[in-house]
Amino acid sequence: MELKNRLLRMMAAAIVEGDKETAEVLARKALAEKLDLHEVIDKGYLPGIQKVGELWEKGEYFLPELITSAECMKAAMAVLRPSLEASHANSLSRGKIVIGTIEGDIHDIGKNLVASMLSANGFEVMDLGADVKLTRFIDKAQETQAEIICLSALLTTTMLNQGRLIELLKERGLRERFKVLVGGAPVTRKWAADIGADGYGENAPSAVKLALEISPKRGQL
Amino acid sequence: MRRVVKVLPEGLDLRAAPGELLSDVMERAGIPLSLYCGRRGLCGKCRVEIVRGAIPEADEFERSLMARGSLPKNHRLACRFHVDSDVSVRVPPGSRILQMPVLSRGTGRSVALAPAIKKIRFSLSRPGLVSADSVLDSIHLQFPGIALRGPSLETLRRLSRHALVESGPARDMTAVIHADAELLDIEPGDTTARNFGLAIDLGTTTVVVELLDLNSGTSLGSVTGLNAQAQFGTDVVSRITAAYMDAGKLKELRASVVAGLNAMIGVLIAENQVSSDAVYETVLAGNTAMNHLFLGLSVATLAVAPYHAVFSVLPALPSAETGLTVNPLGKVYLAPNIKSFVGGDIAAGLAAVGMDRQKGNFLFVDLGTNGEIVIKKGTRFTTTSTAAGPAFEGMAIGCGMLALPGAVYKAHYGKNLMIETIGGLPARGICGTGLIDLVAGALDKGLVSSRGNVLNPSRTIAVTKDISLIQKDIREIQLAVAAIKTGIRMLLGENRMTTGDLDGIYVAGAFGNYLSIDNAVKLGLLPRFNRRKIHFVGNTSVAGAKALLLSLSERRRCEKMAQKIRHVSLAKGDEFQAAFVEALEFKAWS
Repeated sequence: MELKNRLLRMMAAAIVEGDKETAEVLARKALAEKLDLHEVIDKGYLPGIQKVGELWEKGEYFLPELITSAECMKAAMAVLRPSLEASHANSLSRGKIVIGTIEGDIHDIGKNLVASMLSANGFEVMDLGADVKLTRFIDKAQETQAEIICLSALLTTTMLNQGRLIELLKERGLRERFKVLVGGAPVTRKWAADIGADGYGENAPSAVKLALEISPKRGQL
Repeated sequence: MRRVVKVLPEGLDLRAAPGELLSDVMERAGIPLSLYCGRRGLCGKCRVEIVRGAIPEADEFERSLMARGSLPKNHRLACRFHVDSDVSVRVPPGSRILQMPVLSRGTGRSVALAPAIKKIRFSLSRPGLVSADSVLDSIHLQFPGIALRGPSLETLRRLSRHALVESGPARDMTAVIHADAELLDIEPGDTTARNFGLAIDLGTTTVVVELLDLNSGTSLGSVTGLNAQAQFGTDVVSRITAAYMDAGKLKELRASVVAGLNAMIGVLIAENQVSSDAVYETVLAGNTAMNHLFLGLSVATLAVAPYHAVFSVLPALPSAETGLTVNPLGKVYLAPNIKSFVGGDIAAGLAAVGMDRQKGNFLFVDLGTNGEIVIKKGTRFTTTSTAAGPAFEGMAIGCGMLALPGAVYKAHYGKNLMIETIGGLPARGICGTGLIDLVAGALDKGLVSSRGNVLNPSRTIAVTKDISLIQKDIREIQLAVAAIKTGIRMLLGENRMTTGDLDGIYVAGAFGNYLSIDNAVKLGLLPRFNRRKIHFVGNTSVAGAKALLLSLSERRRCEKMAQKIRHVSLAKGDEFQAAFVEALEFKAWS
């Protein structure tokens, strides 16, 4: 019990410190000690990610730290995944997300960060890259039966395409099928509301929070 | 048997074949003799003094010039002089092509004065009773060998009003010729002394207009102002977005910049008592977006990937169509866009610096909002733009401001923090170079970590009682520096080069005038490099516009260069993210 709590605290710390090796070592220890892996993720590593988000909000953590922490989380998950899959075949994923930078736009650092953190948080993420045609988002989401479509745009010009995608979904009678989240530097809460998006994330940590809230499989993991 | 031509004051002895034209002999020897009217005997600018040897009889052209007092008695036109015997000539300074310095600071580059606009006096005589040549034909006869395009209908109308000659002697007229190919205008009388041009730097934030005398190549003055489009957004993307979404806004954007330019032109020509009709050519150097908005072109292609321009090289446009208050029959020439967002201001900048004339490898970086970078490796040029953002212009920074009076532009942490402001006025904000100084100083003093964290408990860096830098400001500077640093490193990598392969670095942009190299290196904005080989060249956009205005051959050269520069899109590579993130740390590099 004491060992478990200590390990959980160290896991969070490893994420906050961006210490990939320690994160991996602790994950292997968790397996060796046969700890409940869902608890390990929810009470060990994820609090670390949340703390990173808070430090970002405070301005103490910047892009490099976010990226390193996401990498740590990915590394820990890579160690745990085989066992997770073995024990719970289909509840591994919190949900499926199709993400990409919208058509006409090539900026992707922010989007990459969001994809990393979503994946680190247990979502199955299909990152389509940048300058992704509107139809491709929809086709892929249908094909994989994703629940959420995340659209990133960095220019006020390309941001318009986020609205166009939602229109396209309506035209195809698919609007109710997917949750559409939007983000990117020029994007605002008001814009998201104006185009009828289901949510707006100001940065990677809040994108994750939002995805967790609207994920239909919330609490199932 | 070869004749000997002795040229003074150089004291050169040149060999000429019997009967060879003196101007040809001198051209062969590289003596920069002005052949303004193209050897037609009309301008008198190639005259030389015959100091020793036979002085041939004056021909009709020379007699005409003598009658007007434009050719002293023992002078002859080199373009009409056949060398039949040995001769000594003195070339007066006025007959030499002037070398005009181009940059107000930096490399001492100059261009040979040979503008596109030439004003040549000619005589419109009464048509003979036998040959009733048309007015236009009799003018063309005076300019044999050039296929004169034009004139425009307006010019023809003017000509028809001036051409009626009832009695009296032949009338002086002045032909205004563009690029030795197009007859723009005919003016009554001899107006050759009034030949002016404009060189314009159309910047996103600041605009500079300079008035030049195209006969002497000298600048009569310049005016600097803010780009009136700022009301539509301080950065290029906001303006593009406004124009992209609304054709009415595109019209407004165009109207505001044209009005702003006309106001500045008005000031210059009033101050110098020049008539706008005497301004026949304007050369404009701006970035791609500015060029498009000035012409009122749709910017749809610039708004989305792959962000390509509508044009790169354009022939000079009729002034009347641009809306500028200059002679409507004149021309407006835009420095060619290179590719995508790397535009005419950079092409002009490269012309100003003359990088293509130097042997070796060079880096050219324009420290401004768009952070354009050019690398010359041998004969190959590559370029990219880095969207550094407005931090260097003091924008997006809480207490930031443009480099105007009252801006903190220098700072140093000694025992206390010492600051200097532009104009010595009380500090009211911090401009780009001040930001660099402050962050580098704070880094040294341990107030800021290399990862950009403000370490003191208040999380602010105090500058004055009312001015300070906050954590968010430091992040903005990290982003701007990282953009430039990554751009330089990736372009070097693209060329398989390191900074060790560079023979020099040119830093352009008004920002560069006061930039502390030490502090720029500390933050990683510039690489560690031999101080003596870093050249701050100031506003190369306006210097380049000048060079292109004063020299038609520089213009052609610039166009060729613009078309062969290879453009690299930084976003294409997978390495960009990793390189950019790594560059966020304040660290010297080389």
